[in-house]
Amino acid sequence: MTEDVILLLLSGLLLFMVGVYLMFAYRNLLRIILGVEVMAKGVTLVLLAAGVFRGSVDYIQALIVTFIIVETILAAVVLAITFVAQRIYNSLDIRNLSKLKG
Amino acid sequence: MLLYASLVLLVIFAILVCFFKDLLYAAVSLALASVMLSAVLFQYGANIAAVFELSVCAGLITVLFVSTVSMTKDSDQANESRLPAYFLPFILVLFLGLDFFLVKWLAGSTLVGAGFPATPGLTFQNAFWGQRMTDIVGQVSLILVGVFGILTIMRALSERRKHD
Amino acid sequence: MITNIGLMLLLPLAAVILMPWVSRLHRRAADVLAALAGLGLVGLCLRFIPLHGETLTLRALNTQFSVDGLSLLFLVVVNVVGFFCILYSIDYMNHYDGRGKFYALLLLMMLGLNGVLLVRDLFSLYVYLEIVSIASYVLVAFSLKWDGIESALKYLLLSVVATGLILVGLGIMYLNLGTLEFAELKLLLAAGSGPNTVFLLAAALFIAGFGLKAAIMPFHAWLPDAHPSAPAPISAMLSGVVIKVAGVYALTRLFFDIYPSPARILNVFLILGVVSMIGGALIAYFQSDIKRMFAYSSISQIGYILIGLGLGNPLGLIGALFHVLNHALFKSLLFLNSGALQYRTHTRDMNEMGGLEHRMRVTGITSIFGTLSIAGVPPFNGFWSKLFIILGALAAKQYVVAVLAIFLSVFTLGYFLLMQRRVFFGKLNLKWQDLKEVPLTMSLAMIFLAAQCLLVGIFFNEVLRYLVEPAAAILLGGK
Repeated sequence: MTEDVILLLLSGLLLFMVGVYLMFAYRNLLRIILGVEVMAKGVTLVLLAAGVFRGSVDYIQALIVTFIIVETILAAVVLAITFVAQRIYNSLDIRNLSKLKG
Repeated sequence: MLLYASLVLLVIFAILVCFFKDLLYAAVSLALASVMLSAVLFQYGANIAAVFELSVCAGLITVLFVSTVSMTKDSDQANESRLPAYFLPFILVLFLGLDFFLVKWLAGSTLVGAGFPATPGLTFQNAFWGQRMTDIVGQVSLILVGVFGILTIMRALSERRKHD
Repeated sequence: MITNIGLMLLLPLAAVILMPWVSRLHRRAADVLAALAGLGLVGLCLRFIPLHGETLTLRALNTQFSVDGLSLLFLVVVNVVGFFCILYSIDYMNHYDGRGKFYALLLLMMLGLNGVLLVRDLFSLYVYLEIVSIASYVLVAFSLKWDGIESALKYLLLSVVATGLILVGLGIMYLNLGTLEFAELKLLLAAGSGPNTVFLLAAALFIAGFGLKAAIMPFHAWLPDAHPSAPAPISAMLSGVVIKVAGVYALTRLFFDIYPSPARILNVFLILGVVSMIGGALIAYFQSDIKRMFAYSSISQIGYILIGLGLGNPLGLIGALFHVLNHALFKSLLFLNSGALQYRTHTRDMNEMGGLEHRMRVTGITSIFGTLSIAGVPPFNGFWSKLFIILGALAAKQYVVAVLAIFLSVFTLGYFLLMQRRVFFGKLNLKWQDLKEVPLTMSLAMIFLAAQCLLVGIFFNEVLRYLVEPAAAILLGGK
């Protein structure tokens, strides 16, 4: 495996893990969304690495574009929920009023 | 060389997102990370993906995020815990360790050979409109889900709401 | 016949596009449109049954969708339960506003579910799965009360991580094999000698990702909050359909059809299944919120399905697949029951109910049908699928598993009877003196589902022959 594929994989997986950490370490919804975005960058890098290794960057490009579109719609929906949550309940703290136990 | 620089900057900006107390700075850092990712994509000739990454992630998502931040200004952001940011360096070491281990493992093992090599002359056009057409119906539906979803959520803001 | 495949996606799409205008026409117009779309979908998927599991592929405009025995079973589950949930919603949504949007999102969710079952490559599976996921986040939050929003957010968090894991697994699969299409993957993996270690990494990621979607323990954390807060028909869809299609179907497709898995991987299923079966049932016992109890019970029943899959022998596989159908039927019935209770009493706390059988006859009787089905009492459907799983365990010499399964079955009967006693039997709590039964469409939906639980149980041979065995044939094909 060539060096740059390794680098891509390394950074991709790292960003993925950092993203997941951000999602679960913070209580503020907006930081959690930032975590989702970082995770998405990681996934893009991993996909790119796979494409470079196989030499079919164009095919992977199509997948990445689709992925970006999907994640954008997801981000829009989550931001809408965040906005409404703040407007109505005046809190962006995801553990607030936690009546529901696990 | 440019590639390695972009990659390193990408990782740095993405990790920096955690360290900014002000959400706006964090959003900017994320946007810069997207720009770097876009540069990386360009390096490999994934031009269309790079443009998408630039305009959508660095652009649209940042705009959406910043507007949400500014519209939700008066909530309990002040007493936000800084602990995760302090823990991050240690956690990073852990992640890097796991990361190196995984990638070393992947690099060392034999991957199933040539398998299905890329077909020559496969442009993005062919790939997207040719092979991935199945996703297009999906994407149209997704856009509808987004539209109806946001309308549903926003209806909470209208005056007349029946209660359960 | 082949165009029916395309129609399964185009019909809900058309209904959704028309929905905004139609719902403005008349108060009930949206209901009619949604119900017709649902009925159309049921009709379409039933037309595939006579094929006896032969694979049909639609190739139009460069797309590729196909139906095979495995898809067919799940398609029937999705569309039949979906139709009854739509029917039920017609009256249940009287307590909510935004009907048109609700139907649009529900139909889009069904479109996504059907899409997951009809595609032939992993990335498209991800795309349609996202349709289902995003639609379900909004539907869980539909009431826009705080618990709806909070549950939707918790569900969303875990589900997004699951999606991420699946995508990384996808990337590694592509790295490893250069393709994501089912047919090509199958060829490549069959030609190889033994499981490639890289494939095992991808497999682990897939088990974690799809396991999260299927709410298997230890990945179950989102389910007990999401189900109670969602409107009842959505809880029914989530528990009865979504976790199966998003989780179980994907796992069977990957680990049985594409890659006939060796004992190592199957044992993971077995262990996860036993843990879920026991854990879910134990926690369910202590719940006082009726929907929460049902949610944990779903985790337990998915455990049964995983055990059947993990056993790997024909009996186990047939039992597991049959249980997918049965659980969809009786669990959605039970959730619709809980919705009916909530509709009239405005509470989900079982301690506040009591003696309701006197006032809510239909709900009470159908609830008994559901209880007997889930506990595995003959001649209801649950009995047969659990029997097959237990027989499969015995055949594979997994005696401990068989004993545990039997014991948990009795335990399930126990806590469900407890539920019945607290809610329906006994003296009528005076608070509910003036209670009435639920409106027509809700009753109809519950009656039909209850009838199906009984009929599937009586005619289990036919159901096995036409629906389950073609699916099992695909799973066993590699062996």
